[in-house]
Amino acid sequence: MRRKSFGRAAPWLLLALPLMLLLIFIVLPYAMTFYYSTTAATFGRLTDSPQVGLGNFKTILSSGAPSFPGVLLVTTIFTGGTLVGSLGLGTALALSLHTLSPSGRSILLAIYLIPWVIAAVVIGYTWRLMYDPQIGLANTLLDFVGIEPISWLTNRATAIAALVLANIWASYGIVLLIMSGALANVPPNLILSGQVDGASYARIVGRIILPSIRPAFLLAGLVATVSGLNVFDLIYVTTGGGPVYQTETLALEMFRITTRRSNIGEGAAVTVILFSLSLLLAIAYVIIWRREQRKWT
Amino acid sequence: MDLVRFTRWQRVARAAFIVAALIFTLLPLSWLISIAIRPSGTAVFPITLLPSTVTLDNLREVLVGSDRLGFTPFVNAALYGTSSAVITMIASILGGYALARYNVRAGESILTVILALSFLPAVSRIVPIFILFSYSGLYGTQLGVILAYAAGATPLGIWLMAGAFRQIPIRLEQAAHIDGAGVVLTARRIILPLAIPGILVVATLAFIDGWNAFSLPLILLPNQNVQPYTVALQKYVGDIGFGINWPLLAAGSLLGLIPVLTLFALLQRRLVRVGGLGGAIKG
Repeated sequence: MRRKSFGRAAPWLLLALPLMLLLIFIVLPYAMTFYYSTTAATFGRLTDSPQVGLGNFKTILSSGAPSFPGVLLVTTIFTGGTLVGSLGLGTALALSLHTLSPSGRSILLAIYLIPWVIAAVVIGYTWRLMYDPQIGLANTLLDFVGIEPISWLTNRATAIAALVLANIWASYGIVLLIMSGALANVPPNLILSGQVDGASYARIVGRIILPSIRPAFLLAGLVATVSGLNVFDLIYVTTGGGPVYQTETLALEMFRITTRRSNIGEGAAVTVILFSLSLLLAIAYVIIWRREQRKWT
Repeated sequence: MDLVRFTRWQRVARAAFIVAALIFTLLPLSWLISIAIRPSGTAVFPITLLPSTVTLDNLREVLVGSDRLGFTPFVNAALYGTSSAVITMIASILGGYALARYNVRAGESILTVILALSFLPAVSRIVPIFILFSYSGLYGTQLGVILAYAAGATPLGIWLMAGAFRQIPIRLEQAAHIDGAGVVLTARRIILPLAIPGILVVATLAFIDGWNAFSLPLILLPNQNVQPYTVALQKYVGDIGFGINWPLLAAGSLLGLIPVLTLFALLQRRLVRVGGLGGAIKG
């Protein structure tokens, strides 16, 4: 039985408020951004700004400092490092907790999830403190074993590595959460049967457990990738994209152009690039996921 | 019977890995706390691993001292987080119920679009919201920030609430209907009480998102009196690598941590249970 009150209009009455909220504050802003990416609008001049076609995109792609390939490279290293690190750590931890008693598992899970609820700004300051040349824990520990202090955040290679580690810290919890949920749904009999057949633990993991949680693994991979692309707060409060744009990602470039240079048109163009990259990833995920589903049903 | 039989070495390796991950997780936070509770003169090079004396002076200085942030930035963050949680809750209950209970022909596609929206990286919304608000006059207003947070948290909220409502047997509603209960009474007495666990999770996630938000208020709120603590903390940061007041910055960060950690400790079981599905989308 379906509710008869208000007849066919009922669901739409219920949906009116949430849909309005999403249309006005998510869909409309994106639509405006696509429009403004083809104009020469600035913060002071939003209305009747001249059309420049693809001019903004050309300016960004050919910009010298920072060069677009450079920004794209930093973004890729940062996202790739986050993906590999948090997927590896999160999955390995989920597997380790899987074989513990349920009570021990839930206590440990709660501790590992602490970084997941912390503000990205606070995570940024926490890790900036860790890497501080004078009072950071990293150099203090190095000093104990007699290694010279390292200026972590002012050198390109160490800065990117340090930031990737901080972002893995921030994002492995969500992978752990997804993978733990998936592992809890693997039928115990499947694992026991492998054990009865005399398979080693490594074989059980490789042949039974991992294949049965593939969809969750893909989902975790997408979430980790998006959270790599998404990082803004963490880099903004640690290096600010510096030194000299060396740790600047697409998100930071978008913010810098829009605010410091008040160039809405170019800022919108970088946003469109970032948006399209994320959308491509999401579509790729949906396609892979559909194919996986077909395999299993 | 154990799920998997391990050799002794496998047990040792597992324990070592779990402990190493615990250290990795807790060490940075311990260092932050250890700097926040040192007398400010002792947080200098060469630094000791453990503080020699423990003090709450830095926390006091952040809240009421001469170099204070004051209570206002924390009150602001709480106001934005709570308001956004209330709006998100209402929108998610309405939307989730409509998608769970009615055979809307467009329902499936609406749900898919909502799911896709929750996958979009939050950072890609900063500039679009900035453009919309500059255009419409919401720029610099507290209402604008609250609505922007709520819109960000609503897709996941609707998705979670639709799941929560599907778990409530429709027969309960039918029974109430037959007994003569109207729509409002059924909602108040039957549906909402049963959906409370889901509603709590949606509200908590929205509050945490709002309390933690940085990039949106950074770009949308130029007026210092209405900025949340995340933006106000920058007061203690000078130019890069130079002039950071670490004891106060650490103490201020700690004050920002305490509410979310308390909430998480209280609700972690519920958050973890739905988090497996929902947190996934949070990204």
